[in-house]
Amino acid sequence: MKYIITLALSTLFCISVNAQNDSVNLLPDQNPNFQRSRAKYMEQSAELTKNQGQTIQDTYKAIDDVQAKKERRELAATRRHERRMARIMSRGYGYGGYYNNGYSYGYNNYGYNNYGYNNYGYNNGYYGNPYPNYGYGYGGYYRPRYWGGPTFGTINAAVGTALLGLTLWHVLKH
Amino acid sequence: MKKIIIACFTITALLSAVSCNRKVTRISEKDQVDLSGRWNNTDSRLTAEEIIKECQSGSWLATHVEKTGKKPVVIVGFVKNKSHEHIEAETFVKDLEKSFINGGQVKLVQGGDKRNEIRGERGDQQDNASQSTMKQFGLEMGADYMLQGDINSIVDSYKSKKVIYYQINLQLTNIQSNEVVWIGDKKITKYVKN
Repeated sequence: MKYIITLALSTLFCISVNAQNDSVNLLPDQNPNFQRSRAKYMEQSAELTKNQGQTIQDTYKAIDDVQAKKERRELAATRRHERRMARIMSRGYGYGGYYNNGYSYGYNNYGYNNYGYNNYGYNNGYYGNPYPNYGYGYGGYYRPRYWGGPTFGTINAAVGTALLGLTLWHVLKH
Repeated sequence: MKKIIIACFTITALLSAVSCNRKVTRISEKDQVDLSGRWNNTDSRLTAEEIIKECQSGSWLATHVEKTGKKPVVIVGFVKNKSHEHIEAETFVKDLEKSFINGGQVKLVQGGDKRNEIRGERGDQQDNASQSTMKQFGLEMGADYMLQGDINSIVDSYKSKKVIYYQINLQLTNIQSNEVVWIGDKKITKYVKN
């Protein structure tokens, strides 16, 4: 009995000493639970401070019609190249009969399944693009019309060169 | 021969000058330039101006000071974009935060990832900084109010004409009592003809 009372008293003493220590360690107005936050953030400090002095790139792709058109053209050119390659490869194998060439690459390869249906517009519906399915079904209304013709820059340069050449020829002649 | 060389140089110089047709100029942030009809810097600026004016003239500020004798402490929560466009609310919310700090009537505390980074730095100091410079946990300033917001839009279009309506709502809620003490809004309507 005496042993139990001694044990209980010593436990109470320890608890009160601990409580006193905690209250002594608190600064004025300090949150009494600060140790929990302290332990948590000391553990995570390396992770949370690893980006210090750096710029975190959290960017988004802005709507740019000119850029989107350029990307569509590039994509169309790539796909056209792939189709050509597929056609060449297809011709290279076997007899080249109707079912090998016509059906296989006509429908399955660059038809609905592989090229046309997936959205490759610049916004994929995120910005509510009403016509996201460019190139649907190969040859549809929104088929990319990339034909590799002269751009404004090349036409401009060609016309400029011609005019200057003409002027120079005229000057040098006289 | 000499003439031909000079001519070639001239042609090259002229062509390079003609080819570089992109022109970029700096304009004032207060200039109104509407290109596509989508949300732009002018909308953000108009929203900031309106919201700042409404917030600073609201009765919540005087009421808080009268009740507590202290400046209110505000934390910025999230702004939910429910519109049809990408709209970055931080552009006008930051203007509001800046007006809080510069006006000196409202205190602002950090929230979100930035607060976590600061706490992480404080945690790092517990092991690495000298005792005299180490910052303590449990002494942060608790916010009295949280700023939250919504962005809504309505689009009405017919053929090549379109009317876009934006409504930006910001509100301050008392964190203790859950009472909404202030709501500010900005409504913008645009008529776009393609």
